[in-house]
Amino acid sequence: MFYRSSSALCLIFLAAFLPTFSEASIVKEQSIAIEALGKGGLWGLGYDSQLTERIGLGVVGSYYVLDGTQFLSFSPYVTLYPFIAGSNRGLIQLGPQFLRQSISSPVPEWTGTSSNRFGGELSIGYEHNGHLIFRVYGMLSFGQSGIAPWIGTSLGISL
Amino acid sequence: MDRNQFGDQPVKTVLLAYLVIAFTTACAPGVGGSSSWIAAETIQAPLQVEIAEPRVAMTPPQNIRVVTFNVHYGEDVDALARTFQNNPALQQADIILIQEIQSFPEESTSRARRLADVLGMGYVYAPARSFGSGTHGLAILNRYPLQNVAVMELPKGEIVLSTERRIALRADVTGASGTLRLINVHLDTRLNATERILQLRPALLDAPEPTVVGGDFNTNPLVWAFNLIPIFPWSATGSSDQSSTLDQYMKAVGYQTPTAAFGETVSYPLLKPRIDSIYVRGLNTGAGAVERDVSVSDHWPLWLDISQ
Repeated sequence: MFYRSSSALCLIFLAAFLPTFSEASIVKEQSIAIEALGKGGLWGLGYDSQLTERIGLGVVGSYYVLDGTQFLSFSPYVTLYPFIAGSNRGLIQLGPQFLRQSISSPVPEWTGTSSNRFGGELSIGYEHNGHLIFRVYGMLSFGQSGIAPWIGTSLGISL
Repeated sequence: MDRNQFGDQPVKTVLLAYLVIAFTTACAPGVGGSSSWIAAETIQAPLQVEIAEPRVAMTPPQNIRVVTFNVHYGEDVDALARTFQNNPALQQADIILIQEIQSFPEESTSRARRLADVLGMGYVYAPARSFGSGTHGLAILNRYPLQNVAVMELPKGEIVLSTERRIALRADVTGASGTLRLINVHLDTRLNATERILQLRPALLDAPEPTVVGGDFNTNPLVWAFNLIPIFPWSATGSSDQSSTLDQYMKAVGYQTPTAAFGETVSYPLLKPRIDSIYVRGLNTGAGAVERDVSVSDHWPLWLDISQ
């Protein structure tokens, strides 16, 4: 059910923006960014590639440890820019998320636990693409634990 | 204008700062200190332990109903008593593990004592800490005489803002089938799963069989950054369910998790946390449930039938 819903959402999302493939010019711009909160939860390191004026691909990776719980996440996504006004753009991002979550045991009588998990996320936000690339967005993640809201910001530079 | 004209240095500085912050979160679990059981009769005021035998001392039968209930201060003792008298499952309680009950000198007697008197049970009240003019702590209400009553100060969580003294309260019940160890606990809220295990562990390590461990484990469905900011559930991909992690630990040290499938024990919107649990070792378990019709506290009472 979850996978069917995700697939349907992807198709609707892409269909809405298909015209942009033909009308937009190829930009071929690449950038890297650091995220606070966002797709990695606490922080992340991202890479984006702008395919056309209105479409991009990106990925955010993150790793951190909180009190013995390790989070390693990898979140690729498609970015669409439905609104562009100079260097200000509205953005929509959609993609899957892969997460490895491990708890290291602090005691000898227990070995700890780990799991590999899969989900997806949809982000809607704002981007200022000037000297620096600044983004702020709201996010819905969906996966094995249901649906969860979150927020994120990122700061990046073009390569 | 060339986008890189702004210069890479500030960006590198910000990036470095982020990396420093990210990797400094890789800290060890923040719970420390050694703990040991202190006999109840040796504890002095203001945290002196109150103990009263049941008016009619009964021999424990083979089947016993254990209830755990965080009563959220227990201010309305009459309403609490009515809850136990009117709820068909709770009125059969033989042993009640109570968390967050208080006692104030301006009230005639402790709330635990008033509740026990109305229900015709014996009781132990162990204050964990001072609270205003009175105290705040754990209680065990019982239909059978208790022995070896003791209190353990649990390791402190290194929690930003409001670190509270947490205790475990233990007692033994002796019946025809032998001696049953009871352990009642109330753990810190803003702990992550590994810290929670470290805080609980000393109360379990020397427990004989059979043992019942119950209480408010505060196994909230959150991951805490710096024991202050809940960052999970930021992602529905991941799991922040501390109750299942604690269950895994309890299984590893020989306990059954009979209440793991009973569902949430508090009525928070959206999140459905199973904060309260009963674990047993060396016992048979029977029926049990969370009584979600009860509205006298912010927790629901949880009960379980056990037999030796």
